[in-house]
Amino acid sequence: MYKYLLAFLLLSSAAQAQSVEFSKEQFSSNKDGLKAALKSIKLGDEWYQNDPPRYEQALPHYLEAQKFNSENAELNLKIGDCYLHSGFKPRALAYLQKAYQLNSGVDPRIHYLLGRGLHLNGKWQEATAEYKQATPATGTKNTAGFTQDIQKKIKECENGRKLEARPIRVFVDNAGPGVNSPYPDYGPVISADESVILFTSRRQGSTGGEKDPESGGFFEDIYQSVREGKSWGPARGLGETVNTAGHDATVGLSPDAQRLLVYVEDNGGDLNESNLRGAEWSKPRQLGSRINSKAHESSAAYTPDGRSLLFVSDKPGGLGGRDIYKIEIEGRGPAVNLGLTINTPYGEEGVFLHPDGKTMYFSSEGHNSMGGYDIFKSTYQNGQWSAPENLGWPINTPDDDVFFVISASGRHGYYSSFRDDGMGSKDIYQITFLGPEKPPVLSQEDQLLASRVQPVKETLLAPPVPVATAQVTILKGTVTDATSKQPLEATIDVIDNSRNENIASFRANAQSGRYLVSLPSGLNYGIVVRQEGYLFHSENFDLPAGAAYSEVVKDIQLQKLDVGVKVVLNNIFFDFDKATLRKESTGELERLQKLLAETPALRLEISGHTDNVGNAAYNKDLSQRRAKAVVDYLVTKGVTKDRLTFAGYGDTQPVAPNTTKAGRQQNRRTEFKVTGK
Amino acid sequence: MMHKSILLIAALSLPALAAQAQVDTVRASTLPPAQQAEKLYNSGVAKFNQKSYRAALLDFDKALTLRPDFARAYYNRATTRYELKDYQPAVHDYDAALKLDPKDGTAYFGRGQAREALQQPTEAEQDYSKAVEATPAYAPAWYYRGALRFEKGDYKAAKADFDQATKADPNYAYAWHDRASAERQLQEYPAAIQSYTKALALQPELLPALLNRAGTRRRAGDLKGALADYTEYLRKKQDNPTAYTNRGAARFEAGDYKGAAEDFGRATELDASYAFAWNNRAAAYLKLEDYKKADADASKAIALNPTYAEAYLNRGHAREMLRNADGACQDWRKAAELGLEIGNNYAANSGCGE
Repeated sequence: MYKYLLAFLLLSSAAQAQSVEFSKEQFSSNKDGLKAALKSIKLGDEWYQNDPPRYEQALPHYLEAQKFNSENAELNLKIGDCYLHSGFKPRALAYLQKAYQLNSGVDPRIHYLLGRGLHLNGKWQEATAEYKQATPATGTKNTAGFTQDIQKKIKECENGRKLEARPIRVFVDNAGPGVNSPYPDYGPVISADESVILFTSRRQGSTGGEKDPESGGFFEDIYQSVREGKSWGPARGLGETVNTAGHDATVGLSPDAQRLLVYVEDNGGDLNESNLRGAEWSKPRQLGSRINSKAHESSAAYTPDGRSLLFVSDKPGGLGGRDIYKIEIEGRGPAVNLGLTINTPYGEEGVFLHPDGKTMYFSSEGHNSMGGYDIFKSTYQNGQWSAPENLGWPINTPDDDVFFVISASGRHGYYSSFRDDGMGSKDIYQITFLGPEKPPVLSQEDQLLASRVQPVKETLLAPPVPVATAQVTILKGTVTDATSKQPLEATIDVIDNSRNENIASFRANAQSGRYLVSLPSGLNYGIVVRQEGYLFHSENFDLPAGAAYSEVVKDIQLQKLDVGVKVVLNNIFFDFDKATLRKESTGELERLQKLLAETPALRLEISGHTDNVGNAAYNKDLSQRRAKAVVDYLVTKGVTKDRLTFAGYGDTQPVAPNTTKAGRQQNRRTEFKVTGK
Repeated sequence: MMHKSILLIAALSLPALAAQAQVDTVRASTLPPAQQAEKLYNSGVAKFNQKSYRAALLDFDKALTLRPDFARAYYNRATTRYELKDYQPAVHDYDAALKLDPKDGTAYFGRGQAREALQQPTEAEQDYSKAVEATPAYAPAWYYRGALRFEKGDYKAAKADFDQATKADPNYAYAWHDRASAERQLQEYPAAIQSYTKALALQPELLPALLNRAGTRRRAGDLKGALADYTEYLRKKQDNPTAYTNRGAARFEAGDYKGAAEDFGRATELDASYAFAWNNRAAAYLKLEDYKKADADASKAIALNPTYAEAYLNRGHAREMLRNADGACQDWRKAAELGLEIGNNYAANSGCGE
């Protein structure tokens, strides 16, 4: 009944409403006002009817005219159309509805536009109803294309309805005034530990100070902000080595924030790379023709080893629209299309690879998008990418959701969005993932025995929720000279101990000595920090498959080769309770062998140490046999016997208290001491 | 309920006592000591029946002085002492009665009751076993042994005892009720529902049966039936916070969070110290996305019971949504510390300590 009444009211008001023309007859008493309004319309039309139309420039003029007369069907339609092409698309709906109410025949595209307006406001069913009535604009030649487009949009509404029905739990927060400005701010890229954010902005003060004649806004520049507690510090431009007078935009950042991928407009849109040298970003270099084609390359991400790129291109030979490719940066082979599981006949954009090296985030207009680009997630398992999963409502919206990045912990994502609560235009937002709903727990009791007063308590506990942390360990810290405490631009090698293979090398920052490496779970990692003129430092991270996210801070002090200096060999492993070297030790032993070969006068004492668990005499003996095993190995590899001595110290030289598990672990070690050079 | 059960024992004991009292026809003055003892005994029984326990006790004392081998007098004095809550002396008297008449099932039963009152369930269970051995048709002995076994968590044995009790006395509503509870614990829900129904048919005022049938129906997946039972109970009795709390929980399960919050609220009005109701209303407010109220209610539950793990967990959820991340982490960890392991998962998943 209610429904009918409402429909009747709408119909009757529609019947009553009539478009008010901008004419002398209507506004005989306010000719000046009319004149000004007509002028605004004319100015707006010039932009609106431009080829291609300039909706954003037209809009302010139309809105000016609207102030004078808000009851004109055509003007409402144009404003609605402009909003549909602006950052604030949902605002279009009210104008389009009004246009239709004032004159249902205002434009042959009206049902399509209403469909768009409703769709962009998440009114899935009403949008579908309008799409079903939509007819192509006058003069449209490709009616088949139009029909296809309508069908896709109807499907998107269906996707949207389903996705909105099971929203994901997130907080979406403005990244704050350190990052955002009243101008467009977007394209955030972060270091794995979220200590640094780089982004693109079209704010005042851009390099060159010119405005883009195309859009009327300032040219893009890249900015950087550093985390200060819970917020971001004030952003500063990257400087003129990176930011040119033209467009310079962020595309990707290595997990350690030492390598930046920059988008430039050259050659149809290309990707360049800049490196952080101390505190300065280097002049971006071309990534070469294997990556940059004449087509549009627009987005890219490093693999955690820094050796390969995932990137987006619309070059010919793809699967339709923009596609995602993978390529080894320094290799010779061509870029490989990620294939049909990922790439659709529609556009793919904004690729990002989690520091775990196997979880890819990207945007697509295909798959089960709810409209425009939606953000998807796919995992590389057993040699293939899993079916992309829509990140869901409310991260994804009916509009374009692109250029999403996520922290190594998986707790925070960053992207940009137009929101009414923003600081003006497009802003960068931080998403906090809350995970699946945490079920509340109820308690109740029943008095189950008729003759007893004591009730039986029971807790109705919901089943546990899956623990879904990222499976990567972030190791970070600074590398300094042990004596001078000055930062060192040391090389950090990441070694797969089981295969004794160097899988990645990174450099600590020359100015700060800071480094960060991401270690995806599933390997026994040897970490070797080396610098010319210093003894190497080794660390071990044995991370079984599925090991949960953790962040380890380790400041490393490199020592110069000097008599008396001791170095712990963290990547030497023995069988339990035996003096048999395990094969995972090979890499470390080879490093030791190399060090001895490079420094012919070097003499070492190899020593074994244990924790204080067990019999002291036994521990001393075991540690001695282990030290001897290392010496024996080196001798078989040709090191002269008289350069090496061995000793077993048992638990007599602890480096940490034996009261904790971690302390005991540190105490069980093999080390060398320089006895002559 | 306890009160009722004691009345029941008195009632059950009385037929025997009354039978003994019928011999009171002998004159006092010239009577030999044995007969004088019987007279005093009968006087004691009469006083017991008038609930003049102290006076009855004096009569039984005198009777036993005159006739120290008077087994029934020991038995009745024990029963009187039980009524006076002098449990240990009651046990002694039952001992004496049993020494004189080792086949007296009712004395074993009585001693069992006294030992239960003395918190000696193992000894009590042994006495009930002796009682059913001596008098297999004595339903209460089966019943009370069943209850003890139920409390030990041995529901199968409990059910067997309640079965025997209902066989010995098919109109024994308590036994039907508790058999239902044993069946419920054994997850034999349809049987439990039937047994509760039987208990209710025998004793319509045995309202806990309605509550328990509701709980069982809920477990059996019949939320509608459960809600109907709760509502029926609450129609008859409106002063029980547990009933409101349990209906609230059923409404919660049915997705009626508003209705649930109302019920929990009613329970807190009836008993402001009922921590479960506060905690549960916090859970309902979480579902209603009123996180401030959820926080406040869970805090109230914690104030009432500082070791209430569930309330910490719920408050953690509320605080997470109120953007009080540190508070949430503390609460989840506290819940884990108090035994709800999952709290640690929540803390780990929510970046606590980052």
